[in-house]
Amino acid sequence: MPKVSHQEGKMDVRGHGLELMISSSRDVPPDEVTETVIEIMKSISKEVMYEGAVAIGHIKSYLKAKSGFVKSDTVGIKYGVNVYSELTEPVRTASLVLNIIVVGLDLKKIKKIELDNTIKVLAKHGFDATIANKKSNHKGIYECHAH
Amino acid sequence: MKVIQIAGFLGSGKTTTIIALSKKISADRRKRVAVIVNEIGQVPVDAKVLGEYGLRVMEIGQGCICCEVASSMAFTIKELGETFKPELVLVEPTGVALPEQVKGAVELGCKYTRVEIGKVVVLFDALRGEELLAYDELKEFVMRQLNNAEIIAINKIDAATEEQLDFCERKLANWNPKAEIIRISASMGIGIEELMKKIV
Repeated sequence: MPKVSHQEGKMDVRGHGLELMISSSRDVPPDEVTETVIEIMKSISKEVMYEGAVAIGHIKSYLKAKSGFVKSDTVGIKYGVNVYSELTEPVRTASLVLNIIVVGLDLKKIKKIELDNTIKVLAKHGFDATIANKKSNHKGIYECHAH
Repeated sequence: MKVIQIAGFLGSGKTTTIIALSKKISADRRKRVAVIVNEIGQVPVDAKVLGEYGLRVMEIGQGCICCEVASSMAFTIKELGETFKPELVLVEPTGVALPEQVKGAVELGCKYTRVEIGKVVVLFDALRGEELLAYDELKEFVMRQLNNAEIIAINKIDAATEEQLDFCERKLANWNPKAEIIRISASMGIGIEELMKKIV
């Protein structure tokens, strides 16, 4: 196989993945959980662009609770947030996975925006969060920083 | 075992298309379908989502199958061939993979098991056409992905205007005149049957 790699050019794509365990002292209704996920996606989308990103590759999330899951994704605030929920019962504990890929923004900024906005929105809805796993091995397409 | 890659830039709808296609193929053609998903990052979302739909999912991490972990792809194909024995394998590369390189990785798998390499499908987001083409670096990369396509599926047509769709079709036909261009909305199931007929 010819070894022509996508690291030859100049486009800079970076990303970050985050896995959280979240919990609440109250039963959070499924609709509010879905709303929380949408708010997280919007909040991150807005801030990465505000901080100077060229474009959002994608932002994806997957929340898994006892009664089901919520998946969500967006490619930018103007395109809206796609969300699909199969939650059937209120949620007290869940795992939340986020995956963000952004074009033209420093990885440090991406990490901070991802974590700060997620924690802030979760707190607003009464969720505490613990980082279960934090990785930053995405790389630039052309300037391959981690990929 | 036929291996078909559903490629496309980040956010073009690969996972949604694979879910819709897999359901359709399983229901209409009664074929055993498996999915190989390659995500950048060690906190995968796509594999978890695909797993919720009862699909047989093999996940390849630690790098991109189009270059860094091409050999993992070959071994994954071998393992699938020996265990699940699917009739069809849908490959979801990362949004930054080059389809011709992924094809090369699939060809490596031919050493270990009998593989028919299917058509290369590249998705294009109808809503983001202008945005992606506004930046030279993005444009260059997206064009390179599209140049590898045998079928270009313009996705998200349910949310796009006719002007956006015309814009995309004109540009795509110009860049890759050899590719078949179809319109789909994976989330609404529009055009999925047509796509299935072209690739299965």
